[in-house]
Amino acid sequence: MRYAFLDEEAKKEIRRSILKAIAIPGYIVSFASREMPVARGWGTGGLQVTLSIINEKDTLKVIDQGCDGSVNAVNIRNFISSVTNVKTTVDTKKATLIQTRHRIPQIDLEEGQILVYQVPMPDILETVEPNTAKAKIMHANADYSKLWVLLYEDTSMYGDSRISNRYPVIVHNRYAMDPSPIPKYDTPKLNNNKALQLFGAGREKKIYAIPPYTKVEPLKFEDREFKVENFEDKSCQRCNSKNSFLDEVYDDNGIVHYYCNDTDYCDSQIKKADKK
Amino acid sequence: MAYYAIKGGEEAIKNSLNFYNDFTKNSEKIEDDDLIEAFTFSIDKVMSEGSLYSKKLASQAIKRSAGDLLNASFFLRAHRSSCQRIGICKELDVNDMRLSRRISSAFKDIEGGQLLGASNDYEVKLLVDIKNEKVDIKNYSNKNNVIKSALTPLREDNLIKILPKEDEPWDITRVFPTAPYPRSSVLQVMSRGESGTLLGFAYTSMRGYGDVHPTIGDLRIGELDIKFIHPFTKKEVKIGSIEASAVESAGTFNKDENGDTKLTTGFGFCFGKNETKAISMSIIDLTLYNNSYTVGTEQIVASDFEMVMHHVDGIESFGFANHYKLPHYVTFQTDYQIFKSAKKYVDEQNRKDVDGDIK
Amino acid sequence: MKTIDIEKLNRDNFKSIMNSLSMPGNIYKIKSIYDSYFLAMANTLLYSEVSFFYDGNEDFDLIKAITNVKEESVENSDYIFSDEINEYFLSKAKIGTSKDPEFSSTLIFKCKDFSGLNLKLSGPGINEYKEISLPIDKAFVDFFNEKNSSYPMGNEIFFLNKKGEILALSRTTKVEVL
Repeated sequence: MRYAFLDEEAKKEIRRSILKAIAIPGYIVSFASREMPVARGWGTGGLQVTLSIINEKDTLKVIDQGCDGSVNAVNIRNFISSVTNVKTTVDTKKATLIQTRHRIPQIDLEEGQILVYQVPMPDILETVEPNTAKAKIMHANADYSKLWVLLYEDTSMYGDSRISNRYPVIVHNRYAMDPSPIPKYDTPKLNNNKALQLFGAGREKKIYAIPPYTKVEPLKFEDREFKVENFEDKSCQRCNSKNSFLDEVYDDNGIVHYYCNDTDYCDSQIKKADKK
Repeated sequence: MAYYAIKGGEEAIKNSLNFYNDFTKNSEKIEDDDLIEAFTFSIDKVMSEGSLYSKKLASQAIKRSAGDLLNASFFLRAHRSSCQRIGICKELDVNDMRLSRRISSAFKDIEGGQLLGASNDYEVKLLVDIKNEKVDIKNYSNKNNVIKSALTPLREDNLIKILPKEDEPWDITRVFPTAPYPRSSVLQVMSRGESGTLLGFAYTSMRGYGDVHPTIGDLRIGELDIKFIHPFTKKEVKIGSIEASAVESAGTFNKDENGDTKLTTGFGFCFGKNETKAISMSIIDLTLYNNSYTVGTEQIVASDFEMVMHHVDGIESFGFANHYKLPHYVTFQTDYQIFKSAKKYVDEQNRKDVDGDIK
Repeated sequence: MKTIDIEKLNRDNFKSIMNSLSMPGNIYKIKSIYDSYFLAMANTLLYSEVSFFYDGNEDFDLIKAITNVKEESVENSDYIFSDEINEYFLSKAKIGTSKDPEFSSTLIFKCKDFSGLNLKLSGPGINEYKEISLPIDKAFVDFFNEKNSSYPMGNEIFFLNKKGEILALSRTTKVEVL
């Protein structure tokens, strides 16, 4: 089978889109988006980006909801592995290429690493303007008034934006961007990240990017705090961390437990504790 | 003993696929030739939605999907994606079709007559065994059955509105267009669209959410030859023939770009015998390009390009609908937290009186 | 005869190209094809749906045959290749529109090496500031900054030296003469 499944023309078209996306941070670039053996909506965009940039020197990590063992992550990792023979890892520090769904790794990324996000809906304006033609004109004019009005209305009714994940951000002072369904907790990590961040939406046929060291700010009023998810006094029952995004899990007796969402982070905390 | 976060995904997937194989292994007993002969309409639906003309591959896809035809179309699309493109064939003209069926509702009689061909239109839908009256059919060949569209006389009299034609047809599998959408791209999206979705959209138009009053001018099913310029000899060769359905619907009248009043038409085309889909496609085409006069343009799904271009592809909608089964516990956690904060805020506001003091 | 794995060459070179554009000012290595780093870049970037312009000394015929790329005028092409740093080509390069800023040209300039005017770069991809040098003059710097002053429209430039090293300036990069 051809290396990385896609034919060379398909890869070149995706690569061109990636370069334009890097040149225009936060702007959504259209691409052909070939159908993959994985269903639309299940990560074909992230997959096409990964397959177009991966080479023999890479080490691949795939996570879904922060977990390497999640069924979707396993399936995608196996597929990429089968068409490239690439080295894989669950260790965030060892990965050169990380494909993720809905979360940014807890551990800070370094220069030279690439984070590829799986994106369901690439255009943040879709939440206030589903007509793609109208939304494209709004982006051209940097007209994000509908997002600001929504924020104002929510704040007056509920004290804060009602947006829970996919919180709109402004990239390089210009484009309003959809960071994919990551929690608000992760939103600050988009800013000035040392890694290259690429976003692929297969079904909607869009690619966008944030180069390293780029300014990314959440859309918010100056006099309001950007509130992130709060786990109050809870800590991870496995590694005792009070500093990570936690999952609420119910056991067979109906009792609730809390664990680090990022499984690699949890493992590394335990390793650190063992060393002491 | 601490409860570990979900691991063992690999095992779960393997077991799940094995269980699923219990469904699909039964279809392996069926030979492709038998399936192609027995379920010709299923094969045609899958080829049309998969956008790949291959009865054998469609048969294998149907077997792999244990009869789930939309899933089978997905298999074909994915396969199509992996095929190298050699080139583009010569343009097909549906008037060149070797007809096995051709009718026109617009006229009582037409050149060549109303050729019913093989059709279940007049079949009485009773599950009990009803034997059809035996008939003595002489040998029938479609070799000389090449008849132009029944609307041709109207076209020749310049009475039919002709939409502007692009120099080169668009290719949606290479670049998906943004508005304003080239007509070729609109027709491509519909031709490979999901049959039920197109039927639903067309039905809204038929029931009044559209102002087109369609009449079938020409419905035809038959064979079309695929011709291609050989890359080495540079000579035109025939590489095969396909069975296809084509429908021209006539609507009301409208002004064309020169200001002349013309009769409007819509066109539907798909691989295989797909009458319902071709009819639906032609009605949506009519509705898209002709503004409503009686019902206005609000809430008319079938006349909205954004609605049609982004919502009729079965592989896309199927994938996205089913993606909701993927884990969403992080986003749900964030939704839940926002809900709690919002509720807390509203409750606090309600407890305060007009002056802002707690009641 | 040594067989060349063109696809492997392309993916390795694309990594360097992508890294250089995402971190302007950093230097990355290109692998050559038919003894040319220039043709290797062309082979990596060009394909049937894009166009290029070149009127220099290297032989693009093989690239045209492999990639099926279209040839275009300097004003209309997606990729402008040049044997030397050329301000005229930069002035003619298309910059896209506010609606479609990606329909803009990328320039690839050959140069001997990266020594010359000392510059300070800032913008996306750069940690605060980066100091580099390039064989250009102040007029070129001013022109580059001006050409890219109506963001999101603009052009990217890749500089390729004799050793097969590349360095990129993105349209978001602000260039100051030191």
